[in-house]
Amino acid sequence: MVRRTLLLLPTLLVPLLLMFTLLQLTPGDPAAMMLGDFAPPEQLERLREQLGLNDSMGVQLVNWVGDLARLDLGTSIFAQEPVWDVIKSQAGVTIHLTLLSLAITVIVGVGAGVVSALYRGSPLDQGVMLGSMFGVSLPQFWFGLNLIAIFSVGLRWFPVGGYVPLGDGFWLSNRSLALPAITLGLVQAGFLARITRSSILDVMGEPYVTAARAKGIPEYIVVWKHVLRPALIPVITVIGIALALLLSGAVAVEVVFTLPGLGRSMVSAVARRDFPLIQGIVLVVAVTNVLVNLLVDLLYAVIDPRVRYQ
Amino acid sequence: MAIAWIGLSVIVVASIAAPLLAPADPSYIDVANRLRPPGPGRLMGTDNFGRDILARVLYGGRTSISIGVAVVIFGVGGGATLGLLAGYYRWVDNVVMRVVDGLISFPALVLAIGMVGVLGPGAGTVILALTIVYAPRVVRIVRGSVLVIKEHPFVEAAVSLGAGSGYIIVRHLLPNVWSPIIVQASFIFSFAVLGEAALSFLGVGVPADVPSWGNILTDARSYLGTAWWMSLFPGLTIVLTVLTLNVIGDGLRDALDPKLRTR
Repeated sequence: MVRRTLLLLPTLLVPLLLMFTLLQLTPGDPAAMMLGDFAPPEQLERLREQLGLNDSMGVQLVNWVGDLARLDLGTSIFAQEPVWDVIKSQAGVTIHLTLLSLAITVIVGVGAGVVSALYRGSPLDQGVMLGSMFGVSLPQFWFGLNLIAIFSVGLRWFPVGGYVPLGDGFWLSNRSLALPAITLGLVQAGFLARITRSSILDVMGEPYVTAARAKGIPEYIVVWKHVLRPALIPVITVIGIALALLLSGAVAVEVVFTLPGLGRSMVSAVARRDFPLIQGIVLVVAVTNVLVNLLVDLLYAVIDPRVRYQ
Repeated sequence: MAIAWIGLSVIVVASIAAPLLAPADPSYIDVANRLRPPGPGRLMGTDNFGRDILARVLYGGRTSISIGVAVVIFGVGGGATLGLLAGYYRWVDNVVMRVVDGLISFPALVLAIGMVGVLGPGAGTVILALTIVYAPRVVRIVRGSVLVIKEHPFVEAAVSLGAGSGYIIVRHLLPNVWSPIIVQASFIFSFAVLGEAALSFLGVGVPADVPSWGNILTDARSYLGTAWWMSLFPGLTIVLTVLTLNVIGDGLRDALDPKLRTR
């Protein structure tokens, strides 16, 4: 388990190094960007010294990693606040959205996958497979736009956008995220449905399932105890992948539904060339993603005794 | 599968022939005819500047499909090369696979936006960002195949006949990994079309004055309740393109690799 955790370190380093290198390659002087075009040269020089820009690349890298370890991600050029504070104030929306979407993905995806495997070849199965094919082909932001046009503008069932914090009422808050979460969750559900279906069909072909049937065990017990249990365990690992996809999708969905989360913040940071904020968000997402994947892997070993990490 | 090939060909040919097919100049502003619904003479209606949407979708296809093709060329070309080397040489494997594992598990769009943000928007950076995000898939799959093929007796035979490493990689390994490469190419194409659309829609893709499927939809956002045609037609075009690519990819995988046949 310790080894498994240590193995994740290089995985984490890659996005970190990529961002560091890209920032080094960028033309332009961060000091000049922060002070504006007409700053006097001696002031520029002082800021450069202060930011450590005159040090060699190696020293800068070491300092940067040191800062990261202390959760010091720099200062947002636009907000003039520590990047970590900006991220903290916006992460809640993104986490709420991602969890709600994940719930929709798992319920709809696993449900549809199970139904479609059990009624293999039926019109129901074909419908689910067709739906999941469409799901993976939809641009999420466009799906969201259509949902807004139908359910917010047309039927007026949901707000057009914006986020009601959880503190203002559980129901109101979830209602404000309903359409965004459906947008994100349904599209990913197609992916999960396909994996669930093929996992169940694999298990159904196992000799011990035939044996269970031959013993005269009622079909619903065969399905429940002998097929679903082993078939759904591998599906858990996919949740880690689903999370990366959801976080990716959340960026576009937050913009479409004007939700004040990390994704929208990142897009506006790009427009304002607020490099410390862009970098900070990429790093926080990277760390979260790696940690969740670790958690899923460890959970997998707990649920499935056949899996042991040496 | 056949229908998908026909559909994709129609979309690609129509985009290439945009100057011949487009009923109007895609950037021609005609304020008198702004936000006109679809009708004779303007099959997809006009946008908030009176620009013809059909013309914009056709010209947008040139941008979006070109970017898709470029990502396929660089992503699949680069990915396959690295995959072949990583599968063949152990020391390359250690380095390349660490990087690939780091990139593959990362939320693609977040990384792509981060890169575009640092390098500045533009078609070139979109291609670079999408290539870096999607090439690792190709590396992983090609490397996996090479590791299996490398153990076959014909490779050992070639080595004992004195064949050099380069010769073995190009003449013996590459021909055996063509099918996974082709299958991946169709999926990468579909990811790239979706990725470009998302980046451009978010305003961090190709510049707003160049029509692309993504930034046509950016304009549509403000007119959802009043001008449904502004988002419907460009959106459907993206869905059709990506759907045909995915159907082709699935079909190729089933045809080329019977072991992976989806039930």
